Amino acid sequence: MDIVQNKFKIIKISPINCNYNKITIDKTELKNCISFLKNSAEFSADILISIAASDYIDKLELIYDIYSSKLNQHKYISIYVESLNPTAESICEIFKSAEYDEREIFDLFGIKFTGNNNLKRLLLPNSTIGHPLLKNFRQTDERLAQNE
Amino acid sequence: MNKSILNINTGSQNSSISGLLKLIAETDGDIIKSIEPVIGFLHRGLEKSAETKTFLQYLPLAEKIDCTSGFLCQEAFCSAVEMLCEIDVPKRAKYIRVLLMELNRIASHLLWFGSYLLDLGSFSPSFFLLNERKLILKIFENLTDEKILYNFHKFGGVKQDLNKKSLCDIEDFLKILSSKLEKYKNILNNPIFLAKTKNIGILSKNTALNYSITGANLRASDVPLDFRKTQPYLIYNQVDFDIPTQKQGDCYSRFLQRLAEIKESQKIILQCIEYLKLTKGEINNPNINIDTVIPKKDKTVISYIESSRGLTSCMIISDGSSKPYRIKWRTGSFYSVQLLPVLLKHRYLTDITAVLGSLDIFLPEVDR
Repeated sequence: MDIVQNKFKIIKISPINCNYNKITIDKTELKNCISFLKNSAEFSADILISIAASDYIDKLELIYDIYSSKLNQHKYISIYVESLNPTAESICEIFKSAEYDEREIFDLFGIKFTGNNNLKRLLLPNSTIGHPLLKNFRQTDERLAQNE
Repeated sequence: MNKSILNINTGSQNSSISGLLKLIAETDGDIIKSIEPVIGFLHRGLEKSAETKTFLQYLPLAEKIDCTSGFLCQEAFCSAVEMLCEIDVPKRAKYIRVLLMELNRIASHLLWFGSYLLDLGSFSPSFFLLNERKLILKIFENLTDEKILYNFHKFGGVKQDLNKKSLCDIEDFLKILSSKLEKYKNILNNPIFLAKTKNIGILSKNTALNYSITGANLRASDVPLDFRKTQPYLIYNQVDFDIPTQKQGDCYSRFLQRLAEIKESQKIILQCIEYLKLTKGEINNPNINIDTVIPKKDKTVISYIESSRGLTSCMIISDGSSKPYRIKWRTGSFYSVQLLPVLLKHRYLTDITAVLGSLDIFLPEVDR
């Protein structure tokens, strides 16, 4: 039994690569879960590899890839976020590197991270309207080529 | 407002990334109070454009993530697709890929040396080093007809075999490089270079891990983490190489680290050459029609590659169609940029060049 499955309520488990599982938990438990993985003597996560977001139209998903060099293992923790006014907890306090990841996701997906004090656009200019990596994003600037 | 505080827009000093990184420094005299990097000037939307392209159409775009390490980025994408569609790669193709990736790593490090030394005012060695890089690009050009973007990978193999002549060319190059590197190391033992890099921009082990730093920058802070060793892909578990580390974590350590990594890459290349000379075999998976690479079901895969600037990973979320549903790239430089405010706080303005250069931040890789 996985240490995350023991401690947190699991919504869904799905495979990643051939030897790992992506564990979906409730979004309110995210911060507790990440901090548990970092502080637990069993896993002692030391690097946040990345945070990836994906849009499934009715909901958004965030996948946290956390690595423990002690065990040489990854943990993939995922949460679902509602697509209307999406918000999630920031994990900047636990892993400093999350700041840029969260700013990028805010920029491209529009997910607001509560607790990230520097949440502003990272890659796109401030004048950009909308969040381009959302599936329903349509380019309105006529100077730019349409993709479809 | 304190009248002595002055905001300065510091453009990039690094010749390889000029104009693509803005640093807004708040200064008191010539001491930096705080510094804020502004990125995104080279954002090409490579993740968004993947959604409208088939896997094969996206393959040449993958190496544009980091155009100085084309082979490494293509490997990240290719291996993710191969995992997704369960495609096997023949052993010979794996050796060819590793050989070219390591040569590419050397070329990328040499480019970094050249531009770093130029930034620090050491003019002539930069041209010597770029000369050696030119020799590698010549080898790549003979093989792929391209100098920078090669598009050499194929799903389930590579486009071309390495013949005896190109293997001998690579061997000759390695001999030249070994003799030259010692010479350059001696040239750089000069007091000005040492004063500009020693004890400057010290990155502690904990800060490095907290900021998700990987690759040479992490190993220069005494963390022996190399994904070629810990999660060996291709044939890295069959070749012998070490993970060099440095104790100090300053700019000079990062310089020595990259120098040591070039030597390890040379070791790997020699072993690959030996294998390729002695054996024959397929370079492509004959059962794959690369025009119709479609995953069998919806699946999520992530590939991890130890690239020249840290861990590069490519996540593909597939819905079972011919086009990826979502591609997410993770690159080393993206996280190194975040270090600048930490390393440069309360330092002199002139240290910006030394610290920024030593982290080997490559902006195309940051902005994607």
